[in-house]
Amino acid sequence: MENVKKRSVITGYILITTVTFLFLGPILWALISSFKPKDLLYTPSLIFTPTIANYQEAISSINFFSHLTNSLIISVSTVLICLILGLPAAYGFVRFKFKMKNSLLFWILSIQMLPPIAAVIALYDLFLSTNLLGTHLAVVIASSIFNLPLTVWMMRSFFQEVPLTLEESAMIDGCTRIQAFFKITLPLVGTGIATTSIFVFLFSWNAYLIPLVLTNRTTQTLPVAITGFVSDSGVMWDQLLPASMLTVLPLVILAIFIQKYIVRGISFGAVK
Amino acid sequence: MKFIYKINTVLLITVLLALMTIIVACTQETSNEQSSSDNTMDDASKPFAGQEIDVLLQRSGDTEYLMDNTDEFTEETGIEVNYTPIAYEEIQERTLLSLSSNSGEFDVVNPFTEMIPALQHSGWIEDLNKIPEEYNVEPIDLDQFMQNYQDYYTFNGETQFVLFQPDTRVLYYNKTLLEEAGIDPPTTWEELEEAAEALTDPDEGVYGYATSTAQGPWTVLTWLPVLYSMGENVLGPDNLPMLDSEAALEATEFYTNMVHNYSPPQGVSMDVFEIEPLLRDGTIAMATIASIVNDPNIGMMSYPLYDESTDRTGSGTTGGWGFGIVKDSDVKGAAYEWLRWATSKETMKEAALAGRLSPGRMDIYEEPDFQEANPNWEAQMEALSTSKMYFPLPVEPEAQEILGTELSRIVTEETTPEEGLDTAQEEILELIKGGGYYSE
Amino acid sequence: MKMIKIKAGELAPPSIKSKTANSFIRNNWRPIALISPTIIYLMLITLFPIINTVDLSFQNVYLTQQFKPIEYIGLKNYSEFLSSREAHDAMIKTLIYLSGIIIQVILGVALAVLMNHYTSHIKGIGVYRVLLSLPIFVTPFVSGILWRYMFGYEFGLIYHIGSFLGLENILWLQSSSLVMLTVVIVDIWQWTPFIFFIVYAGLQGLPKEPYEAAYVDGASHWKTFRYLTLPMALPIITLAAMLRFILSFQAFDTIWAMTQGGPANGSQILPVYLFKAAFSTFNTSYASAIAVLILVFIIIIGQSIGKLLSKEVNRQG
Repeated sequence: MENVKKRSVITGYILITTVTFLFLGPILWALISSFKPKDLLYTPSLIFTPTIANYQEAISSINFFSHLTNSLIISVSTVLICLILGLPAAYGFVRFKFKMKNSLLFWILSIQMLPPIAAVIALYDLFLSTNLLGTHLAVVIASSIFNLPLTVWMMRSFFQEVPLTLEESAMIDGCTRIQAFFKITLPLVGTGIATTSIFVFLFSWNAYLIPLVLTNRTTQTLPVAITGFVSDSGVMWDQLLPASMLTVLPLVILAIFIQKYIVRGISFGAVK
Repeated sequence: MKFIYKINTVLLITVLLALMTIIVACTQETSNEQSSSDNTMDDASKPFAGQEIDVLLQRSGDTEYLMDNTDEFTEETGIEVNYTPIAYEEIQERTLLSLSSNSGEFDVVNPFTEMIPALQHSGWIEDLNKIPEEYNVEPIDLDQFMQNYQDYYTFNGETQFVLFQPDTRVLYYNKTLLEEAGIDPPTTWEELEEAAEALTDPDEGVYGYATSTAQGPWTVLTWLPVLYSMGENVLGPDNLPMLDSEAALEATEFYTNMVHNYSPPQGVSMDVFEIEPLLRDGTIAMATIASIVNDPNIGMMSYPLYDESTDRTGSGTTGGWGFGIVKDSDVKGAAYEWLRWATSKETMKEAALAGRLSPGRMDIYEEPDFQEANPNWEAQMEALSTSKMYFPLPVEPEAQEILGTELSRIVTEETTPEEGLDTAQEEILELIKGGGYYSE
Repeated sequence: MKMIKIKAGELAPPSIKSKTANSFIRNNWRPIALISPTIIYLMLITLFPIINTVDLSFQNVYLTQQFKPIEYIGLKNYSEFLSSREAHDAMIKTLIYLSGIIIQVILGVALAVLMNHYTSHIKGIGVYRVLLSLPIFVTPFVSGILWRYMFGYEFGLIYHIGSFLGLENILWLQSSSLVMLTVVIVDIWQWTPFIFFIVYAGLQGLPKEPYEAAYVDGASHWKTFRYLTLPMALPIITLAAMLRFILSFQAFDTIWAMTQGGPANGSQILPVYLFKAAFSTFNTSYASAIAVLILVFIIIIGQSIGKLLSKEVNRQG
């Protein structure tokens, strides 16, 4: 029995490690290549003296930190707007019955499915006429359009897992409905909020077409800036690879940081 | 309780992040204000002091030099310059979106040559000859720029752009490989094919020839030199497309055969960025790509002739970048001053040295330090100054899209050269008629 | 007479109408207060673009030919789309692209079950979890470029692995018949972790007791999965699959960076076709017509998802 178990654990290790490597491969390859000296970039060789010269060059040539700041401002604000508007809406959809509830839900859903390309010209005109072109606000508004539906739908499924009886018993104990929401329900969907925030942050961080059209130099986000390493004369791999790694890095840090809150389980069962 | 503790931590992190971004945003704003308030003083030698211009440009080594060295210009003139650098792939859409909605977003734009007809016909760009008089500024010495480009930049007698950084398609060859095989750089097609055949050795991993075949403008731009070298054009007199001509078919067959016989299997859809390293490391001996490679081991020449008796209509197609001033701009004087600075001999030379070694001013090619930096300067100057625009109509983007798709289909053997060209001919003719640029 | 009567009937009860409206608001003020900010916000910002797009789709506007008179040309753009060979091709390519989602869901669930199975036995499972979810975080544009680098002839990793296995001449990105497969593979790489990420977190939250009972009963792994895990995790799997499906309509960056829809239109899915119409050929009106058709398609799909999920929705009431 012990033996069988041990063997199965070893198989588990091998399986999971292999799969992880398969998925990690391209990123690992890019990470290794980003430390290669320029002249070795087009060879598969793995023997080289790592250099950070590429990183320095990439950072200085695109004004990296100002783009990083822009990306942070835009993504954090988008998350905040989505949560402020989306949380109550999701709660409302779960806890209350009303006419046209389903149609409203699917209408919201269909906005999420709209390809940004289809809306980009109209959004440009909209922000031009409101004089917001080139501001952070324009990008935040546009990207919240493409993330608010996601927030509502994800949070809706988290709220569904919180039994109404919990809130009711709190109200019997003398809480108001709002108090019950803040004291009982909101903490229970904490992991849900973390998960939703991470996705909204991710999608607004990685958005490309919308910030491309709505920003200028002072408000350009990282993904827009790093595409500048693809020019009509080819791809500047020596700078694109380090810049890409640096673009992904904040997200990875965020993922590591928040993962222990999500790992507890997407709320289900936490209360069952 | 544990849950509450956790949600608090998450909230704390979010709030901290938000605060951080707000603080950074505020400091940025204030620093901007400070720098602009420095320049409010009036000075007779600085007539445009305090004005701000917005420049849209392509991100490249050349323009990076401009952006990094604008401080000198600002100090001299008191003009603030805001840049919006955009990647090549999206600059067309960004420029046209902004101009077509009269957004007033930009005072200076940086289109590539294929965009020029659309901008000219739409009347969005100011006549550069008018500004010096109107604003009492020193004129730009337009004679110093490559004349074939400046001719295309002139429409209804108005010169609307200044050439900044031209490029075209040329033939590159790996000197070591050709020397080892005892082959001279080919000057005619026959020689090119012979050389490619002699050099191709798949077992050794060496291929004689490659060309940018990726769908889109890439394949069109490397196919055009073949057509030109046969003395033909895409558009004939009265804007009638000539893709059903004998020459077009022959050019396409030659182009396709070269790829099928002397390129690696991947050569049916390759991009310049894949070909360039292969050319450097000797996997590919000769290649038609954009004139941007700078390597002492790589030789460059204009595209070979069909045979010695043909008289071609140009070496490659005009590509590259110019600057123009937007008609709606309310700071045209300041924009003109910036333009004169950016295209001055000194600035442009330094930008070229920091970038692609492909300046639009002829006088820079005579500078010893430029010649030293760019060993191919002679061939480059010749190729650039004999290049020609293949489709000077506003429907150029559509035509290029049609042609690019059909060529890609031909090279990947989805269709035959005859059928592909017929389809392109039909669709482009319809396009031209629809636009009212040709009538029977 | 009759007609007037009907009209009068319509006009007559405004008082009743407003009364019901009032009572509707009175009965529902809580959900209205909670939901209306979101609805109003979304309406405010999408209404103008949508009306504008529909309007443009009936005209002949070219971004590059604004010097020409603008006319209303009826349904010409729509009929052009429906009869265009390229458009049909793009629709088929889109279906192939969407079918990749099925593979992503299967793989993602399998991965989640595998990891869940070993959670308590393997140390550092959290590290694996983070590493496995990394592909989601790669900016789509970058991942397209990255894969182009990986598939690159002579210098790409895939090429070298291929030649090690004796398969060097697979034209991953250069064959119009194979390129769609490559696109789907890249998509699987990027989005399987997304399904895994959500489903795994869901599995972690499942109650442990039924598993202990199943273990005592000696149930096989497959049976445990089929009769315990799957039914319990079905809602979260559905949620993950649905989110992935919704987000797939935004797919564009990766393909654009990798192939620009080529070679020979081999990887031209609808969003790429739309982008080309809007920004390569600048046929604004035609692009708008495509956008409207996509919108209609999405609404139909949204309705069918709605029917699919209506059980769940009703359960929640």
